[in-house]
Amino acid sequence: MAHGPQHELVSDEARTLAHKAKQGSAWPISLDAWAVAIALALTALVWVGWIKRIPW
Amino acid sequence: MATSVAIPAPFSDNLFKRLARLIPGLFLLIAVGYAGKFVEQSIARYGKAYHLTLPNIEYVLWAILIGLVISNTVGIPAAFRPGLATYEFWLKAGIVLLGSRFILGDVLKLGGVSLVLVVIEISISLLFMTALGRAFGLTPKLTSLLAIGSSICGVSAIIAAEGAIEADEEDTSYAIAAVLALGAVALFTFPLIGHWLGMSDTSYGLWAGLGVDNTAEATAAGALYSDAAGKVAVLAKTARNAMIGFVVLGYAIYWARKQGTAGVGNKAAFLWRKFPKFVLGFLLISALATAKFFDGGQLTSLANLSRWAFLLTFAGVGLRTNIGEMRKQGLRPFLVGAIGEVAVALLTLGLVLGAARFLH
Repeated sequence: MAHGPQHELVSDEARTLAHKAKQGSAWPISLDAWAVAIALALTALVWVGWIKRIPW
Repeated sequence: MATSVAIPAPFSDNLFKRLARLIPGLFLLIAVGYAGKFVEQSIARYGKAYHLTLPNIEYVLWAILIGLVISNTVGIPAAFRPGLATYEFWLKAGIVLLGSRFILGDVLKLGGVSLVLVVIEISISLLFMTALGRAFGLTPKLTSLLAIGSSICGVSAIIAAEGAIEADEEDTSYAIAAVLALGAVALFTFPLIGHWLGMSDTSYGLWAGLGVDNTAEATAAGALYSDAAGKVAVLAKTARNAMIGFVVLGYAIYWARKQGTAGVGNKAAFLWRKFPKFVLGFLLISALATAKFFDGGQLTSLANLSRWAFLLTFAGVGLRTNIGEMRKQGLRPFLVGAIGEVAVALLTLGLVLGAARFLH
């Protein structure tokens, strides 16, 4: 029979991520959608010339 | 008697507070990322000034190493954690902007090869991990989560599957812990093996994209090899991420039938909800670049914006990796994950070497 690893330890970060996943996001818009929106907004600013040059 | 009534704060107020909490960690990401770039440039300048041939260690490695040192010595205070977690946001924004460095034809050619390899990799690794989980006596849902995490895209896939198969928090945290720990190991072993085998940038990038679980670690493992390998790694990983909805849907239907619970309902809506939207953003920017929508200077600016976003991601990868924390995890889930990861790495290496002639 399969038995769980309940008595073993797990890292705090993994616990936090799992807890957040269970609770759901506090943000009304997903991280994905935010990232795409910001990237497209920056692209538009470069295209219209408001951002002239990004150095590296 | 007066009764107190909780009046919810307006959304803008909540939003402002949430954004304010991100600031300390965000500054730490910028400081560590820029320190990595500064160290790389300083070594190059020193070598040039004194006519010395010094090894060219890229900013990627410096940013990760500086982050690792901070995380494992002084530690990360709680106030910095919300901002540090934004590294995943910068990763996704960076991938969308990276679309400007790809011609759509290359995306379709390389992405097509990647997709074929991804389908083979996912099918074999799901079966292998399921058998391994059973052999080690893990709970069926933990086995499902580990299989999904190691075959598709690490933590994001596990989180996407967690609600769909109604896994408990305990199983989810074990699966995430195993994937995080193994991602950190892959980050440093993949480039070493790639150099040892003398792999081309394209072959190595494809291998990193197919074999390393988390998108952040796959991007970093690719960039640690070379800039060109980093680009290919992102493309291959993006193709792998695109499959997340289909695999999670399959598992959701399987578990609903097994438990006799309500099914998924509208499957198209489910697929859209789980589909990583940054893949569409990446394809859109690539299509615009292919249609000559941007001039040379604008393409350079977009490529540099993508580099800055990845710089913050690499700093975040180092800062969130705590070796002490990695030791604190279940042995059996870790062993299943480790054996599975080595098998997936060998399988994908064989697939990439076999497909090498279609890649050039």
